[in-house]
Amino acid sequence: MTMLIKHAIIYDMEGNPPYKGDIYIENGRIAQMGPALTVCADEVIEAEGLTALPGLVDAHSHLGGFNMVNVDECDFNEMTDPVTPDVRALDACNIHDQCFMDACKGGVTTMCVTPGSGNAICGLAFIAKTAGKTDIHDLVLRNPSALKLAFGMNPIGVYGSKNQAPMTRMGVIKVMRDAFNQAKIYMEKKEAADGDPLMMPEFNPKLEAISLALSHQIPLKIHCEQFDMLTAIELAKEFDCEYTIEHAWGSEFFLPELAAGGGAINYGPVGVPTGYGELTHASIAEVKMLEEAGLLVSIITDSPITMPELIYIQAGEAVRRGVAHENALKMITINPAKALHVDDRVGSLKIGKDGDVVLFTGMPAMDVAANVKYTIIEGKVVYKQGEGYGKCE
Amino acid sequence: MILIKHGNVHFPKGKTEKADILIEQSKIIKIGDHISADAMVINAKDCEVFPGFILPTTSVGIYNYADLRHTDSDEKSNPVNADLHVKYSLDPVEVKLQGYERHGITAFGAIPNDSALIAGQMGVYHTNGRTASEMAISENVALKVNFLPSVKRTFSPRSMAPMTRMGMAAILRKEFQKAALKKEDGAYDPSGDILRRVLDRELPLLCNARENFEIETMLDLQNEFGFRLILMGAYQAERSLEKLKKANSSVILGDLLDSSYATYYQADIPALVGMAQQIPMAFSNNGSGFEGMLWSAEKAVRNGLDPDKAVDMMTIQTAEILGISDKVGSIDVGKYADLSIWNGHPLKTYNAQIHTCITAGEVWRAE
Repeated sequence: MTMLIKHAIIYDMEGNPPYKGDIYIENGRIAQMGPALTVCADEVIEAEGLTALPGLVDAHSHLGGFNMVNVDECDFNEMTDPVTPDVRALDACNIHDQCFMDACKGGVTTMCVTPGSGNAICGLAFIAKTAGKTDIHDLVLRNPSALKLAFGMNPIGVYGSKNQAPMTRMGVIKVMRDAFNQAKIYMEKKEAADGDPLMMPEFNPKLEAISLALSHQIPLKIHCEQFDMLTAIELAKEFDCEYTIEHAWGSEFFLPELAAGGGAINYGPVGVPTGYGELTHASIAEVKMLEEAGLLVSIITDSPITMPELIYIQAGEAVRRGVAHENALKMITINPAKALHVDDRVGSLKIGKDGDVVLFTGMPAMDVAANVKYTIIEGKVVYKQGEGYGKCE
Repeated sequence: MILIKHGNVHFPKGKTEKADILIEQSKIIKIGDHISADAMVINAKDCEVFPGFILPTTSVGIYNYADLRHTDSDEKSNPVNADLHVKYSLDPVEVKLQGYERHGITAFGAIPNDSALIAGQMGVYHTNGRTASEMAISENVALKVNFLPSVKRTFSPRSMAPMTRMGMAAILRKEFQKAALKKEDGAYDPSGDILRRVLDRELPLLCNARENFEIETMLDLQNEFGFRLILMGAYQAERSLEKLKKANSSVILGDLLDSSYATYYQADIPALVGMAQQIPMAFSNNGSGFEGMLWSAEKAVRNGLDPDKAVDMMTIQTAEILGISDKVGSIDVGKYADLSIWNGHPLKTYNAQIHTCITAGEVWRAE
């Protein structure tokens, strides 16, 4: 199966200036790119006047696990224990949830889907394509992809209201540190056992899951705002874990520490009322400050909390607040691909990478009227504008 | 006095004109060519001057974000609270915290939240000011009703009515019938007095309903009691367009991005937006931040709405729906000096930044 996209204005997100050209996809991968390709294909898309971008990448979503109108169908917060590292988002993700169509309509082709933030240690996230197969296991790029942690009001609200720990910020870090130290001891016992079943510690699925992060197999994905991000960095350094900071509202006050820590920032979503404490400084202007501080910055939607298309609206609002247009586009393509360690496959248009392409009418993040015309995953059209609701596979 | 010079001034229906605007205290006193006055001058050369945007329905400002567990926006001790008024919950500090100027929003409608059936009366306020009274544009705007599952979810666990939508409709019908039969005997009945004003078409009913069958029931009640109806939320309103026209109802669309409601209610965005050619319509947000209104307007533009029509829906149409167009909603002599000045058209390009926002004569400048 081959596809040829002709005459698009190509933004490859590889640092090349935009040019008019063709993209040829073979067996799901980009096989040729350039001006005026002379190649035949099973399917040809005439993209004259359209802008081609790599499929958008959302580094933080709860699609298929939250339902905003039916609380009974919310499966991403196992709020019975503040420490649930062994629950896996993939096991509860409903790929048939209607919100998956929104991802295609919003041009989002790769997502990191994560458990919610009701627990201090929330569970395991995964990375998948958003459409093209009917079995979610066939869409997965990586599972598990990260251990999700949550600081702040969410776990405090859940357990504090039950008079259980953690009910304070100092409680949250204690709960995390205790679990991480137990996992460290568990790993040491396993190593000392050296395969001897009699010496092995009793199997503990929670500590097994944490040890994935402690042994550098997966990063920590840390929900935090305001000064909690300093605690997050301290924890990651103490246990020598890779980390990303998620949401990151108020990060403008901690730029030196964030830069020294080096973890990628998955910022957003903005568009929340301003209150006090962590409900302050949710402002897209912060992505510019983070970028200038030298951090790898991506824009996230938290979908379905907001709709997936908010990813390119926020990129537009970042442009409104002074981010260079090309950099804003990187924040929704190659930057999140790098942050998720899937940039070998997605995030830019390059020979050898996956044939994930989104074709816009107009210029996304610049023209307000720019809209997704086609979303293509691995050389297959998964959404075409005007073909009606629910036509997306 | 403040004099705005050389701006490209936007009037309703996409009409623009190079003009100067003279402001004295909180009002616009003159619009014309080459005005000179002893005034602070704002140079708006190469800028687009719009009326201040109006966020029609929000609970931010009356929420009490200082203590999230004890909101001031949601009196749910009883299902019927017609005699409550948001002005007593309005915290000017919480309003100021939002930074509405950043998106050119100069006025907002404060509404009670979604738990009670008859939730209370709304007011429309400037986004800047010291007290609710000073901020008030009108406190005689509408009575808010919720015809949503949030109502039955509130009262059902207490084993009290309403626990169903038919229970909700029955209570509304009973309350209106009681008010209609009310004698002028001077008996103390503050809730009934407000409902009587709704029946007299003096005060519109602002009804939060999302799905079509909810909207249909409200239209049925409207037909029975004849009140003025403003629908909000209304994600499936286009299915009842003919009835909405017949009822002279207007629609304040719910947030088109927040909580994926547009998806859950299978909203037909082009059809919903297309209704704006036939009935008065406005954009809003839900419980989200104020950005939701501009983003909803942007989404409507992506779905085919003319950007200038979208501006009208955030200004003059909103003012007309809320009955305050004599005071705000367009750039006119005698109206409040509520202006948002941009260096481009914000609903055409993201390369348009806000330059200055003026709220009742108070100037805010972008850094």
